[in-house]
Amino acid sequence: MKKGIFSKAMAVISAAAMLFTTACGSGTAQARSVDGDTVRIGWIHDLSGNNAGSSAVVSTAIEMATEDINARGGVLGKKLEVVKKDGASNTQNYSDAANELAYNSDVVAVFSSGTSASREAIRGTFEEAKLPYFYSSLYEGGVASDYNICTGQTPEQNVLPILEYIQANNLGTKIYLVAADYNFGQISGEWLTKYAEEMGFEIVGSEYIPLDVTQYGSTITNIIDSGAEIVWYDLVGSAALSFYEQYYNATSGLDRDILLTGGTPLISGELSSVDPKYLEGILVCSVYFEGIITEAADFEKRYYEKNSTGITDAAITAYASMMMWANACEIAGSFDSDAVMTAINSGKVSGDSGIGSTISIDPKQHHCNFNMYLCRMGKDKKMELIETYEDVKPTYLSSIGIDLSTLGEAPNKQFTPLDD
Amino acid sequence: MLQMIYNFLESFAYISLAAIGMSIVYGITGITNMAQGEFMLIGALVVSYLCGVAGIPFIIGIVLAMAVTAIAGIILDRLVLVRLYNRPGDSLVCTYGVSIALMQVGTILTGVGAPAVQSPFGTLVVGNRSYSVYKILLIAISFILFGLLYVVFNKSRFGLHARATMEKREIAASLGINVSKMNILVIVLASALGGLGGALYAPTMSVTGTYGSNFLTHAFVAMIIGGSNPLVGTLMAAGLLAVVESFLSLYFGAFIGRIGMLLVAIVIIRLIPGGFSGLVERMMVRLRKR
Repeated sequence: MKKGIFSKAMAVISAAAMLFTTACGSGTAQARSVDGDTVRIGWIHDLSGNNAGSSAVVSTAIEMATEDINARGGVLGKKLEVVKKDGASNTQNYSDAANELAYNSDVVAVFSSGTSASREAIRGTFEEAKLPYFYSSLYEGGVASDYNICTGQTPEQNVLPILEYIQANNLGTKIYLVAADYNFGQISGEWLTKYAEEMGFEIVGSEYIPLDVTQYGSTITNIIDSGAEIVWYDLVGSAALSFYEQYYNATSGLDRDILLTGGTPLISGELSSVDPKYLEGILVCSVYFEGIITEAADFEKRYYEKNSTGITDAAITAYASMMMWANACEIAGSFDSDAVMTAINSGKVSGDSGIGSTISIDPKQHHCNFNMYLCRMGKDKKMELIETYEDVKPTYLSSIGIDLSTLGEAPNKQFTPLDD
Repeated sequence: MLQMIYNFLESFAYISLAAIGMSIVYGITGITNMAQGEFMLIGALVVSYLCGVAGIPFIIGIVLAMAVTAIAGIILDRLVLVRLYNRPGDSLVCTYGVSIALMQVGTILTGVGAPAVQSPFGTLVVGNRSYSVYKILLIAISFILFGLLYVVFNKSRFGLHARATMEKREIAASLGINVSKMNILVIVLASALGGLGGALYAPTMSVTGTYGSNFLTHAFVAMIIGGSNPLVGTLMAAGLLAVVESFLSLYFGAFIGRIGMLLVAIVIIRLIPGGFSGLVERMMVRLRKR
């Protein structure tokens, strides 16, 4: 009898203790004290799975940024260490990793570069935990958050130059849209439709395709039948890499030229996995392409000493995000979340992009400005630069009246063209 | 019109080449082999590295792919499958685990993706459309394969024994057929066919660790609604699924094509639990009674 009560009491006490500690951990800003000589940040990205093609380059960028920061003495005198989590192209892993980094680790900031689906799954965690969270991939735009800074290009920065070029050179007016069937693809599709229709283009067809489809026969038939002169490609992931070969073979005998362009060609590992013949003629606009930026030569050389996968803009924006965070800490004089965010909101934070330019965070929009490069793919993966657009600033959030420069007052939601 | 037929045949070849290995194993040994996709991955990897990097001719690459996958099949059989004969549910779970493990190994090996192999032969232009000659070849191969398997199963001693084992295992054994040897041979055949399919499709897709899972949905569904006869069942199942998917994808997009295909599978299984094989068998029995 006594034993029974004793073990029951122990059960109750340990249950209460567990509840107590978890209650302490959730929903409150954990005081991040940085002891010793190191400061830690967290990085969640896809080292395997469907999205590894676009994220593997980020690993090398993280390594290079860590080396550069530590070579100049670290951040506020402390050595930088990165806690890496593999999202494995699975949104559930991102949620688990985010919870662990937010409540069970001593990282002072978190970075990620996965899909937009993964970002939306974890953004709330860091807003609640009040931890600076940098999302470094190109994406569909519109996130207005206190603690989430997006350091990748958005549609207002890469869609317009392409459409303007097409119009100026009379390459066609009929667009067929092929986009990935999840939040990024759907919202990017809305952006394309909005800009294209404003400029007088006609969307003759659109298809939203699940991420694991590898056979595009019917889609390509629809493209040809619609009379399209431009295919706007917003597919993502390694399954989509099959599109290029099938598209090339189905359209090479056509009597008209169809221009292949879009927001996402060449970011999913095409440069390593797709035969160069199938990539010829693709028109793209991005913050970086290999071999066309003279100031990037040193970065490229250093990168290839570590990694043989083709560099994409994902590496550059990841590198820049870490540089900007380090700069924010130095301006704030501390690693404390609110101090760092206040420094960002003052508009003084900027960072080296690694390719000869400086990227800054717009304090009212929490997005960044970039030099944009409009290019066309030639033979044997040789990129031809058509035009450089200097210092293209983000504009969307300001245009709808959002001002994020006062901490604690952000709507903490994502806006899309459908909201306007 | 020609385009529609071409899309249908493309889809048919895809589903057939993916499903045939799985169906044969299921029909004769009663095992659901969820690792069939990974056999296709092994075939694709062999071709990617031998042909894409070392420059070995494609035909030789395919033969080697089949050989390597056959060996992999034997290993899988001796280690795992030998305990799972005639246990479709248990074998599904076990081989699914094997599939996950192999997928991760594949990812570690390929990283971002295996080297690309260019699809040979170029295109054929008819009217205003161009058709990949290679894809037409794959369609032809899928038909030839069905033909060859028909000959093997219906005109050879091995085929006779295989059909007997499929129908009544115990009686076949009592007649002197070496049932365990039959099992191994069947698994070797099925894995070689998987390697063949994977190798053939490698030039048209990117080969990453998850290559096999691209085929698995179609293969599994075709196997289920095909039933236990690997020839008749797979042929009819691939035909129906290809019609549904290519037709719906053409008019409503790939997403609806997928959903339509799966809904049709659910309806078929609900109406004919034995799959197409069961249906054909009942029809044959009724014909014989007359």
